[in-house]
Amino acid sequence: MRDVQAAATIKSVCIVRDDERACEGFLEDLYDTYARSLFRYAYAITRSAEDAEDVLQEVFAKIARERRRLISPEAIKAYLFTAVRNSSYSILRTKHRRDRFTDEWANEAKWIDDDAADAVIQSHVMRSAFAGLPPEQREVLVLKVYEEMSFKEIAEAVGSSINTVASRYRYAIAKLREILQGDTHER
Amino acid sequence: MNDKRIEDMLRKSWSPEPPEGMRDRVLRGSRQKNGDGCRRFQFTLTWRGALVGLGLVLVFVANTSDGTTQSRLTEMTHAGPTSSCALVAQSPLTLGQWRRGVDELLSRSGSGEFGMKGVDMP
Repeated sequence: MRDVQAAATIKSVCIVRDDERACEGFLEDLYDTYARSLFRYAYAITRSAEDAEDVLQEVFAKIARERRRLISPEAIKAYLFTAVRNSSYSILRTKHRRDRFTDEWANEAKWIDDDAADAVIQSHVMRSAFAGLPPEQREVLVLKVYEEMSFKEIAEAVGSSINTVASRYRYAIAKLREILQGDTHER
Repeated sequence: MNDKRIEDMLRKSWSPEPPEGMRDRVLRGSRQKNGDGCRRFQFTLTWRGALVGLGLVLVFVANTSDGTTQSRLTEMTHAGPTSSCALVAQSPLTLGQWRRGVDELLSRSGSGEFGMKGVDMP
């Protein structure tokens, strides 16, 4: 629902996109609507809050420069996710971090729950397990679980086939299940 | 443990929030880069205008000087007593024809045809 409203707002701004003030409003609208999702997506791929912020900086700067090309407001969401993905992988390649596990998530990620020690431990195990997945699986999980996209939409966003995307999701879930169940059995 | 439960656990365990102040940093950064882009665009626009103006001036000057040359040639054609001058003015000539024309003029001036009889050419 929010996307539809955002698209309508953006569309109206797009019409007057040559107006500098309207363009600033356009960027702010985009940020307020999508930044949280985009940040999470970039973070899932890069595993670094700093890199995720750099990705958003780059993507928004690009939009500011090329906003006249954004003809269809309905396509903006897909455009943003694709841009964030490209930029995130570019950072991964540049920094050669792809296979390097960092424990940044354990330190940085916010504890959402909770008082019970078990839940805290389980939450930590889940984050570590998620961080240990390959980036291709993490991004599919984020788009499916947080953005509630269909496999078809995810396939379009990441430029793979539906089957590939579905199997990445299945592998990721199976891996998380295995780690979580292993942890439960250990305790 | 089914898929939905794992998804729920993931949602609860991991939900990174953008760092504080990121909104300002991102929007400020994009505004600056956009401003740079605009300035670059303005700069290009200004120079493009200047170049077009310069081009127009050059075309005007070339046309004017061409017209002046043409009118001088026409004057020479009408004022000149010989047919060779008319030939010079009216048609494009080869180097050989030019040379023959000049030789003819020199020989005529030497023979006093232009009222310069007795004056030796250097």
